[in-house]
Amino acid sequence: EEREELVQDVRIRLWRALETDDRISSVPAAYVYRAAVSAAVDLIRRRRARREVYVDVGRPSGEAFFGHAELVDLPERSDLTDRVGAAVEALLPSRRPVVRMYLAGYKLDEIAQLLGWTNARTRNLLYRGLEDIRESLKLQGLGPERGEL
Amino acid sequence: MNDDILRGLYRQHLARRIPSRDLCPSVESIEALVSRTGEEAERLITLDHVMACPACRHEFDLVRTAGEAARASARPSYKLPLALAAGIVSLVAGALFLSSRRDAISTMRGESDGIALVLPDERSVLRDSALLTWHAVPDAFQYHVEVLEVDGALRYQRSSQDTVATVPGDSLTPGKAYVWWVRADLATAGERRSELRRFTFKSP
Repeated sequence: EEREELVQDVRIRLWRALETDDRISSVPAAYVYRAAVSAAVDLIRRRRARREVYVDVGRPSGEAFFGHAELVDLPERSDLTDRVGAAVEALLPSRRPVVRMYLAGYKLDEIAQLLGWTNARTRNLLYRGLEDIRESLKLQGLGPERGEL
Repeated sequence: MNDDILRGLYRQHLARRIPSRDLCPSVESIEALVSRTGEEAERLITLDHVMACPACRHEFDLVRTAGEAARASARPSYKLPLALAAGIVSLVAGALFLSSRRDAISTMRGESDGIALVLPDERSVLRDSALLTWHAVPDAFQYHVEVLEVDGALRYQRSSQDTVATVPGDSLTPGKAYVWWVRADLATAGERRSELRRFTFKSP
């Protein structure tokens, strides 16, 4: 439903604005980009105005993603996730967004492209951030030596 | 603790949080993040929130993939709006699964990456009905075929395991030109798409 709404909106925008094949053939790429992004932004505005709540049914649950029986059985598992969450929250503001994005599943080059950074700069901040997290967990006794995490 | 385990634990942490939209950034801030406009410091603050908020992340992915689809589809051709629509269909659908299938998105980019259409071709003038055929793709378990008017309006669609589809004559208007294309779902979680091809439908 969401994609249908978005696609239809983009179609309407382009054809209302350009009307003919000839004009469409000469439209700059930047215009098409603006039309698509604007359609997505307007869709979000409408949804926010209706106070619709997005339910991420396609997203795997922690168990589905995790899938490791030895970890599922850990009695302190919820505590472990909280500690990881706290370690991420405690990162330097310059490193935290990059780490969050990486942990959400984005690739290094996608992060660099979004921020307009070089891969080297992005990698440096990411690795430092991940090391900060591991160090924090290690200080709490949650390093590789415990449960072979 | 390797990166995959760290990801799993962090996702569990986020999943247990109760989302509140009171502190969410504006839609304009998310757009600025995607379009890379405005101050970098502000974009980083927005990104920090977006990646910790499922609702904002969904919105971010929607804007981002719409923009990516537009960039991928933009080319000097009459097919532009159709390619854009096709690209958005694929990419926005992909966005809904980004959390679990990030790697799939790379296979969704591009205009045509592997389905060879057979008939009709650009010179075809069809009557009665339109028989659409294309070559099979290895690992494909389902094909989706669409016939659109040149203004982008969808006139016919069908999903099938076969490499043939017949569009009934009463679905098409005599004298009009149409465009058709095929998308294949692969068992390897990716997809392949054909080019967009035009044909004309005449009265019997």
